[in-house]
Amino acid sequence: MTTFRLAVRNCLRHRTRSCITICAIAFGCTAIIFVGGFFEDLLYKMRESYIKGQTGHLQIYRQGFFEKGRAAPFDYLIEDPGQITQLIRELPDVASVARRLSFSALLSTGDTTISCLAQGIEPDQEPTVVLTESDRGRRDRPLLDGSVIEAGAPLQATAPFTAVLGRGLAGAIAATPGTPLILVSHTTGGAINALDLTVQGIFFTSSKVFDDHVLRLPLGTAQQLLQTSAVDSLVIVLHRTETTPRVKEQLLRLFQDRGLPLELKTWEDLSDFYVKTRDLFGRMFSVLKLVIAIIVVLSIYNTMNMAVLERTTEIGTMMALGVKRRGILWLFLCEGAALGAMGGLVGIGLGTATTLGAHLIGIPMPPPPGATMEWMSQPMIIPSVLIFAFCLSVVTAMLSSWHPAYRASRLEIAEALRHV
Amino acid sequence: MTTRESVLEIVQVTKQYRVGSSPVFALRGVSLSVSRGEFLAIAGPSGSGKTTLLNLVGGIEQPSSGAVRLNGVELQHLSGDVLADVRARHTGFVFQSFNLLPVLTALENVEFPLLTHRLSSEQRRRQAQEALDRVGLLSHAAHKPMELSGGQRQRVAIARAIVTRPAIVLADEPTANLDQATGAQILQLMRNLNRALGTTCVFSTHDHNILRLAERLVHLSDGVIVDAP
Ligand SMILES: Nc1ncnc2c1ncn2[C@@H]1O[C@H](COP(=O)(O)OP(=O)(O)OP(=O)(O)O)[C@@H](O)[C@H]1O
Ligand SMILES: [Mg+2]
Repeated sequence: MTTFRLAVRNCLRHRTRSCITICAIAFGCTAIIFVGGFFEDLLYKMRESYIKGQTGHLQIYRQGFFEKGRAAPFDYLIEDPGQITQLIRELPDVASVARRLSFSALLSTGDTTISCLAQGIEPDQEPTVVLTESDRGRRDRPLLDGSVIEAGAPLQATAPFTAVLGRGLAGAIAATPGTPLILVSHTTGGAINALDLTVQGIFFTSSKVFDDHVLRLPLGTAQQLLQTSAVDSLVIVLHRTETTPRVKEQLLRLFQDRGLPLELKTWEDLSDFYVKTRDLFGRMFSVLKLVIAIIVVLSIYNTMNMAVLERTTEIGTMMALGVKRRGILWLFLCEGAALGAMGGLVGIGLGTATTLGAHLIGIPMPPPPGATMEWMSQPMIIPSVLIFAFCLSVVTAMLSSWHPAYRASRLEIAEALRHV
Repeated sequence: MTTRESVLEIVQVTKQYRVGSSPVFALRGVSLSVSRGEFLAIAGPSGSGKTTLLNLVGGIEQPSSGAVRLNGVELQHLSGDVLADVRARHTGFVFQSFNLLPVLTALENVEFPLLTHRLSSEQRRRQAQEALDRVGLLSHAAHKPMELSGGQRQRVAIARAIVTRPAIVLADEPTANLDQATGAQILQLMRNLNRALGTTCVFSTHDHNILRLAERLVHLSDGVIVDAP
């Protein structure tokens, strides 16, 4: 207790030197807090836009679909999705359940024909956003709420023979809202069937690959084209992403209890790209933390070494007055810790202020890898990162004080007292 | 007077340093006995071994041979931590350049040696105030060493040396950094405290002017005790 007070006073002795050390630590903490908040925001936005725009939180298929469905998609359809849809909607965490029927098809304007991935969807169950004028400044905002209609109107169940096209796909066949299209595909029975559709709107998501290939049409129309009443997947959107594992458990239990031949995937299973990006950022963040730990170690080491050298006589005096060697060790460790703690506290203040400022103003960012939309970064303040930054400062400060403190505690008293 | 028990017993002590490969003898067989309440001066020219002798008595250094018995405890066998306890309990130190801790106030400096004692903080404070009062500096309790004159600093240091009520106070050239008059006052203060508290005091000096205040005088020359020149 008294040792700590003495340590703090000793730190305040060389104001300039301590200030520089504290600033070095504080800037390190600020960098950690800001970058941590930046990554978290980026990952959050990527995740939420993937979930709302494409994968949902959970997808349910007929057992075997994921493994073998690619070769024979029509062998793994959910024939009677009504009952299970109803059961899932009753779960409290579930916001919506949308049925989908995806198939590959040929899309033609008469002049040009290309292949595409068609998705029959339930328009009122799939999160979709229409871009408004005020959204244009903050393009990431609508993305968090679903796929974005950038021209025309969203799909409507009441207009069966319409479709919305991904931005890239529409570009490839020069389609705009109102363009007539022909969609050709196999029926589930193996025959060829075709439909006349009108382009209702153009959409984009956070994934360029998705926007380059996907056409969406009302589920009923798709079923009519394929001559089936089945769907291939149920896409579940939850109120909160954190509840995904819990809902997964509930659903698996439901399948087992009812003997339903279904399987499910979470958004994490489906968005490999997000998971890899998260791991990459995690690694980058660790490197940053390491670099900052090294800066803290070096600056504290230097400061403490100088302190020990300057205060040799003082150390000798304290030992002569009965302070034991470990008392001296402890005193200098405390001084290091005090510097670390002050740096950490200043860093938390500075980091929070910077991050909060950036959050309020927003930093315009170019599209992340694999995406097309510019976005606005709003770094978040993450309590665990604040705590981490503080602990990092104190712990590394103590570690780097260890050697100077040890040397101080090993001084020969008589020599230290003769020292001038 | 002859029945006074001895506080300090030095028996055939030598101290040898190595400078490079050649040995240097700082003390070459010193024996000395100091009784409780004595006020003893060690005189001698520079390099005669005064500091070394006081360091051995203070448990700051260990003799190369011989024995140092302080308050019945043989110091030469003790480990560092035990010696630290002996110093904290039985020994007070006054240094040539005062050696106050600059971040502490006068009162806190006096209190410092008590931190290793098991005392309540009020008790520590009271004892420190009492010691500071004895050297006449209670009014300067809140001053930092930087804000005190040399004489005042040494008085604070003396208060710090007596605050634990030690068996012996060791003062290595306590007046060497002070002018004549102040030095004499400091030594007079030590003498008064020695009388009032009965604290044994051993100090070293090569200043003949203050030697007259000593109750007993030991001359050291080239590491041995000699008869007065
Ligand atoms: N650490 C050491 N290493 C080598 N020699 C030393 C060491 N300490 C002291 N000496 C030598 O021991 C002898 C006695 O030194 P000491 O400091 O005890 O003398 P002193 O009487 O206190 O002198 P002064 O009046 O100058 O303080 C000197 O010759 C000195 O050079
Ligand atoms: Mg000396």
